[in-house]
Amino acid sequence: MGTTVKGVNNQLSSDVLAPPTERYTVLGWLVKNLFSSWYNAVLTFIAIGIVIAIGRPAIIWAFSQARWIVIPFNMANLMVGVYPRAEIWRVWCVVYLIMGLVGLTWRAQFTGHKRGIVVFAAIMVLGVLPIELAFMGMDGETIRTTSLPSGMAGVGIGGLLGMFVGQVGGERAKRLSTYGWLWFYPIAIFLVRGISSGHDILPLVKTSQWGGLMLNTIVSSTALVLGLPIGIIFALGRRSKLPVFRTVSIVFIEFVRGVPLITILFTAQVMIPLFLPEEVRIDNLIRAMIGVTLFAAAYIAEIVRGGLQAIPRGQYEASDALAMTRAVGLRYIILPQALRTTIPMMVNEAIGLSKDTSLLKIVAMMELLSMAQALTANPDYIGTQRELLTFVMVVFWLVTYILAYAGRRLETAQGLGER
Amino acid sequence: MNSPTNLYASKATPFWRDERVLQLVTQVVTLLAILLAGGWLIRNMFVALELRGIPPSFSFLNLTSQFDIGQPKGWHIRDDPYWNAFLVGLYNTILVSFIGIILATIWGTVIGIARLSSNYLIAKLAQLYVEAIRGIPLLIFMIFVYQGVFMKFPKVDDSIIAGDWLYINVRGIYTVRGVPTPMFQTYSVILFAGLIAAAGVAWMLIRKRQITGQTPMTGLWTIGTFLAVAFLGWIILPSAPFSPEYPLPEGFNIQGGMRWTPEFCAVGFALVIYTASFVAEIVRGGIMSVSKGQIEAARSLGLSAIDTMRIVVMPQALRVIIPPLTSTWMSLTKNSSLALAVGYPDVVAIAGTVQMQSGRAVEVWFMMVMPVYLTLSLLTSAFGNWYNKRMKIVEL
Repeated sequence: MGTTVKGVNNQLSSDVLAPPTERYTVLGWLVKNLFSSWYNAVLTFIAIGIVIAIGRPAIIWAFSQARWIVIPFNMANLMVGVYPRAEIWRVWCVVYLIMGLVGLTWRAQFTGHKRGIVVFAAIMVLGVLPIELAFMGMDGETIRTTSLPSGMAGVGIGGLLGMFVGQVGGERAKRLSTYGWLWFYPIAIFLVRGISSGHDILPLVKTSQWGGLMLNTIVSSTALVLGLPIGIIFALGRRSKLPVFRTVSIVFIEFVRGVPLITILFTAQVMIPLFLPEEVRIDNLIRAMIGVTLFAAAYIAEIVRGGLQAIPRGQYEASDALAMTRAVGLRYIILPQALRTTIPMMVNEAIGLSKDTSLLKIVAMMELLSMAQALTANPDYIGTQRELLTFVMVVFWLVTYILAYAGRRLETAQGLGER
Repeated sequence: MNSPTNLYASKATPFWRDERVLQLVTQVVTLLAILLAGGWLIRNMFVALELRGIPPSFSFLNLTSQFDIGQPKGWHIRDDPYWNAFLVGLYNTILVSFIGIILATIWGTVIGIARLSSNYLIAKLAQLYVEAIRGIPLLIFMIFVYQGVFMKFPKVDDSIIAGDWLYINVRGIYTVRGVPTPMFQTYSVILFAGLIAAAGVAWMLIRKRQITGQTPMTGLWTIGTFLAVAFLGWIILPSAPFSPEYPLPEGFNIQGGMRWTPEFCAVGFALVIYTASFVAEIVRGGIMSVSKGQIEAARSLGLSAIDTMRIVVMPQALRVIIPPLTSTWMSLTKNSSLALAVGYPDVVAIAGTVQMQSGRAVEVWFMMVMPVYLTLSLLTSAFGNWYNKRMKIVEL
């Protein structure tokens, strides 16, 4: 008796059966997922009908009627607008810099990913290939086969160099990547803008010559970089016990959030010259940047306020107990925790901002959308609105996708949702 | 020998380190700085406006506008004053926002539920829709819809025709329109009576539910009553209260009927398709926030799948859905200002024209357009707060 029991036990423990995996035949899968009941079958057929109704004409158009050639021919226009073609190498340098920083950050900060190299390579393909394709015709109006490999090589080298530094640099590389991103923005603006009109190496390029996707990127990153500190100040103001700060913050935040961005842009264009003395003249682009930055600041303020609300009162009490002043406590205890929890919302805000920069078209900035629209006025490219607009949509979609992906990586790197 | 009181008195906090004094001082200083800066800016503005010969005033609103607004046709012609143009623009903004909000909510709910469907194809299609649309700027999508779809419709001569009640061409979509006849006044009285009857039925059924605990289909009966009265009234009257007006091709154009301009269609379509992708995610999140145990409990109590959805899942999901939904409605209203890019005469587009013509930037933007949107958003957030208060879980 006992032996049988023992034998049974032995048998059970020696080869425990794995839980059954769900395995279906093709037909079984179809029945379960598509035709489980009569209305599911109807829904399936409706869905197939929709796919055919929309997909068929779209594919026919894309592969036989669309004149895609307009895009590579005008790639330089779409990417940098009327930026002087002789100075385009400076934009390339900024792109290489970005890739280097991405590679560095990837190796130094996001460690613990065993498949880091593979993922980074995938990112390079995912994120860089479109940029590559986009920059194809940057040297002129026609496709130059030479520019693609050289640009590609530069971007690849930049990325790999960054990764290498991140690999060997250790803790120092971590700091380098943080400071790299901090310094990247002023350096990029400096490179794009140049020094003075007579300078030999970096002649001044006026802001009226900036354009294309470059302009969108510059405006949205400016709004983020400058909007964050302003937003933090207003968020703190809104939570302040002092009535003056609170009222001012609430009025600003609610006012800006209550009106469409387009009215803020119009107001910035026509009102800023009115508000300043006659002799002060502010550049068109700067006015637009002020508008977008204030807009971003109001939304960031609300995000930061949400983050501040999530900090338990004990943290404030602890900083008081350590005899920290309010400012020191905020800097070293409250804000680091509050900002960390707001990363997902901040990424959303960055995505929203990069989409919103298309509104600059309405105030006559030569950003990507307006370049695409301007091209259709060219007699050679009449009737290519669909092609150009499709391209612009794809570019924006890729930008938002990459931002969302980087945001998810940043969340895991910061251990969000794990503690 | 010092007494303890003296000791404390000598070490009392000096006023420049007293927190209350400091707080007061910083506030006063900040207020002064803001007032000074604001005053300086506003003084500059007055100087600049004087220099241009347009001191701030609203008298320009009575000047004739010198421009026509095509939609709604005939509501504003060039001899009408500016304020009329504003009202027409406001009407257009509210019209497209209202229709957009209703359609986007319905379509977004459909997509949100489709994402949770057990049907693989439907769920994947809905997901593809949401992820594709959310990454595209609305402005570009709107221009694409306008230039790539509505402007590519056939010319008037080759209109797409369905029967004699629908014409689709590059100048818009024409449908049949009901023109009120003299009988319409009598009919509107009947409709009003139907409304009262429906309210009575609703009140009775609610009472019945409160007394007996049975759940009659209140909504269905109420709407049914109204429709029945409306239908009977139509039959009883000696002649129809509306006479149909069919669109008719005439020369290079189509006369009569109800015209939906391509601008309106493009703005409405783009707003609905875009906003629905956000509504879908809100609805999905709301439904998923209801714990599975609730559904299982409802099913084990013998409720049908529909009843489970109607009286168990939805009331709980709505608590999560409504607050973000109201802010989505608000952003749809604000986004309708992009209509300017396709030439739909909404309030921002008209304000732009007026400002260009009259040079009255301050009055137009600060005193008219922005308050309109601020009022709308305050109303929306008031509704959101009211709803939140009503629906909040009562915890002891």
